[in-house]
Order: sequence, then structure tokens, then C-alpha cells
Amino acid sequence: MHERRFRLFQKKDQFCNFYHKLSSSTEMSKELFDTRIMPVRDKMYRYALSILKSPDNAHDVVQECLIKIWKKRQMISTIDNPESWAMRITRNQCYDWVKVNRYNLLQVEKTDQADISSADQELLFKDREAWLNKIIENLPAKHREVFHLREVEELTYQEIADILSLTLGEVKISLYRTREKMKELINKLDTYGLAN
Amino acid sequence: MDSRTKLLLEKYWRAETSTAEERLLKEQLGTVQEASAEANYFKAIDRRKQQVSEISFQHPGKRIYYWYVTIAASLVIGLLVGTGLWQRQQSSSEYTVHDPEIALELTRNALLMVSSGLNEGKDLSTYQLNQINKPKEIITNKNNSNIY
Amino acid sequence: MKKGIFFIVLAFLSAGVFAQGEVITSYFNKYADNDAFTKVSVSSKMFSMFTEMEAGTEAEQEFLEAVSKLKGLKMVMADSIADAKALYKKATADVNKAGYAELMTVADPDQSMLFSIKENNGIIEELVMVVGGGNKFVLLSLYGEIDLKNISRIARDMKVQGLEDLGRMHHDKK
Repeated sequence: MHERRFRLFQKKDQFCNFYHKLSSSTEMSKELFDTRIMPVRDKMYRYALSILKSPDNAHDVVQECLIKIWKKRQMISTIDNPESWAMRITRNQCYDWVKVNRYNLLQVEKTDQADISSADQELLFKDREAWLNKIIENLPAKHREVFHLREVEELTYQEIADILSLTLGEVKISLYRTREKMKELINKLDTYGLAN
Repeated sequence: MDSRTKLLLEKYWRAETSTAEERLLKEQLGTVQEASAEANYFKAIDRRKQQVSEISFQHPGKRIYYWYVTIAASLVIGLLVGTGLWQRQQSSSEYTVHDPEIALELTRNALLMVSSGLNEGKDLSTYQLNQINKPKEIITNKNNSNIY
Repeated sequence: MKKGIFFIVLAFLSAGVFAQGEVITSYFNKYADNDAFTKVSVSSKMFSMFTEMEAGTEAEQEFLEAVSKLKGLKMVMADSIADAKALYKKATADVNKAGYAELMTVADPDQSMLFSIKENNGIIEELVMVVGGGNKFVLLSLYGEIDLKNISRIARDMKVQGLEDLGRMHHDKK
């Protein structure tokens, strides 16, 4: 009698196709994470830094964000703009972190100022970079974020609106006001010869 | 500063520039040896862009759930079921399929695999009665009962 | 902390029920960092979505019936590993050790297969399938209320429906 051979995978390619379908969905998520999320981690860091003002804390928060996103990586394929999504998560994570750690966003500045002698302070104002950073840090949170996302990260108004849950109009107005203020300050400092 | 740049700058202060125009402005003022206050402003912004932090990320896998396993294990010695439960809670979520279409396809294929296997096994057992006794017993028993 | 205590107490109280899926979960963990193994989990939420679907053909009806009482599906698969047979042996040993009742084993020079179940009050709560051979390995766990008759029907109907259907699901390259 002809020996009956058992074959679970009847058709030659049955297992292969099944397997590929299976692994492609899991591979796809991993790939999407590596190609869409990982490249923006520096953006996320700078953004977190603009909110938290502390490099160490910003670093930690972004790590947490990456872990969170990794766990939800299967969802990335369903999202239109993963980069904005990642930035939004960063923002939320920052503010959650602030709440949990009862972090005082203003505190960081105060201690900075206390440690600097008056001679150094003058130097600080002559340094255009430090000057700009000081101005930016003193902006109200929302305006500061809009400014940062536009000037440093070069995001579109729509992307900024999505990340901050604002309307396009609100983004434009915020930016307009902030830039107006910058222009004023530049002129003022120019007059005093400090901006050069 | 040439007139074209001046115009662009005016547009910029009114927040009417596009991202492309802003990039152009930054190029013209931010990197060139301009000595104006505006140039310094753009240079300062450019500096802010340089902030990076070495953020490395290894696909985490085991790292996180181990924390829960350690807590569970330390609370009750040798509670295998407990840690078993924890492992299920933590690790499965990473592999959950979110797309219903894919989930359906996978389930269909998986059941087909299982089904084929069950059928093959049954057929084989009737074919080679002597070789495979135990499975045949179980199968014919289960087939005859109405529990399932 | 509190979550941990809660679950451990729950585990004590209902050790039988909660011991579901432990073998496959341990394999999820064992191969978590190994990309040669594909790991997949289909949740009960997904399964409840399936029940809302309509069946077009008879085969689909059978499928939906089989699926209607299922709660979850977990799989660990590999298609290019060196010693599938050895892994099969280990996996089957693990399944037996975990207290599953062997339903059927078929051993063939090329491919071996094991079906085991976990029963509770006459209802099959979990079906585990292990297949190993060539370079391929599959460990599959199906749980919920499992009706073997319904599931068996799926393949038979597929055969009846002919190659076209199979061609649709698994691109037939012949």
C-alpha cells in the first residue's frame, strides 16, 4: 500500500504565505517605528527641553515617550502624521511629568539667576545666544512652544496646531505676536549696542 | 542686506512667510557673515537647533516586565501561577494585532491550520489503525460524545 | 505594587483559570528579542469584532461559528530555524509538563504535530498546537470555548469549495 504521508501544510507555499503575512504585519510596525519615529527623537528632545528646560529631565521624558510609542507601534500605520503624533506624545508626557514630579517650571530659572554674579550677568546679555534663550524661556508656555516648533523645528502651522490642539488662526496670531516682540527687543538692544 | 532679503524679513515679522521662505531667510542671514542685529537673531535660533542629546533606544522587549515579575516573586516565594499571570499581562500586549483585517486573516489561517491538522490526524488514524492507538481512542471517544 | 498583590491574590483564588496560556506566554518571553521568531496575539476585543461580521458563503458561516466563542489566539512561529525538530521536542515536553491533555500526535519523517487541550467541566478552554519540521516551527494557542467539531469542519469545507478559495487565501503558485 502506498504510504500515506502526513502534511499539515498541504500546499507548498501555504505556510510561507501565512508566515509572511504574519511577519509582515509585525515587521511593518518595527520598520515604521525605525523610519518614522526614531528620526525625530532629537526634535522630541529639543521640544521637551523647551518645555522642561532641563537637559536631564528632557532626556528622560523622551526615553519614556519612545518606550510608550514602541508599545503602541502597531498603531503607527493607522496614523497620518506619525511625527506630529510623536511630538504630541512628547508634549503630553512633559506636562504629565511636571504634574507627577510637582516640577516648577519657573524654579529652574530662579536658581540660575541666583548663581550668576553681576559681572557674569552683563556678559550674559552681551551674548546674543543667551539673550535670545532668556527671552524665549520667559515667554508664556503656549507662545514659547509655538515659537520653538516653528523657528527651530520648522513645522507647518497645521502641524503645530495638531500638536498643541489649537486652531490655525491661533497659531498664526501667537507667532505674529511673538515675532513682533522679538523685533522690538532686537531694535532695543541694537540701540544699546548690546545685540552685536 | 539686499532688498529681497529686506522684503522677506518684513514678511517674516508679519508671520506671513512659508517654511520655505523662512528657511531661505535663515540661510541668507543666519550663516553668512552679516553683522546686523537680525542676523544675530537668526544665528541664535540656529544655535538652538544644534541641541541634541544622545538618545539611544534598544527595542525594549523584556526590560519592563521584569520589574513586575521581581515584585511578584519577592512577595510570594515560588508563586509560579502569579508570575505566569504577570508575564501574560505584560508581554502579550506588545504583540497584539491592531488591524482587524490582519487579525481576521491570521485567525482564518490559523484555524485552517488547526483544522487541517485535526482532520489529517483523524484520517491517518483510521488508515493506520495499528500504529496509532492512543490518539484514535481519544479522537473516536471525543467524536462520539456530545460534550463538544 | 497594589496591582501586583491584587493579581497574585486573584491567581491564588482561581489558579486553574488563570493558568491559561502559560506555555505560549513563556515562549513569547523566551523569544522576545529573537527576530527569527514571529510572535502574534489576537485579543478578545478583536474576536468580538469578528462576531459582528456577516457570512457570505457556507464556509464563512462555519468559520464564524467556530470563532464565535473564541477569546484569543496566540502564535509563535519561525520559518528558518536550524533545528525545528529539536525545538518541537522541547515545546511538546513543555506543553505536557504544563498539564495539557494530549489529544493527538502525528509523527512523520519530515514534520511532527501535537494537539493538546485544557479542559474544564467538559468544555475545552484551550487548544495548543505544536508543529515542527524542516525549518519551520509553530506554537499556537487558541482559547475560549472551543468546539472541535466546528473547527474540524472548516478544513473539510475548504477542501469541498475547491482550489479557488485556497487560491484566494494562499496565493497558489502552482
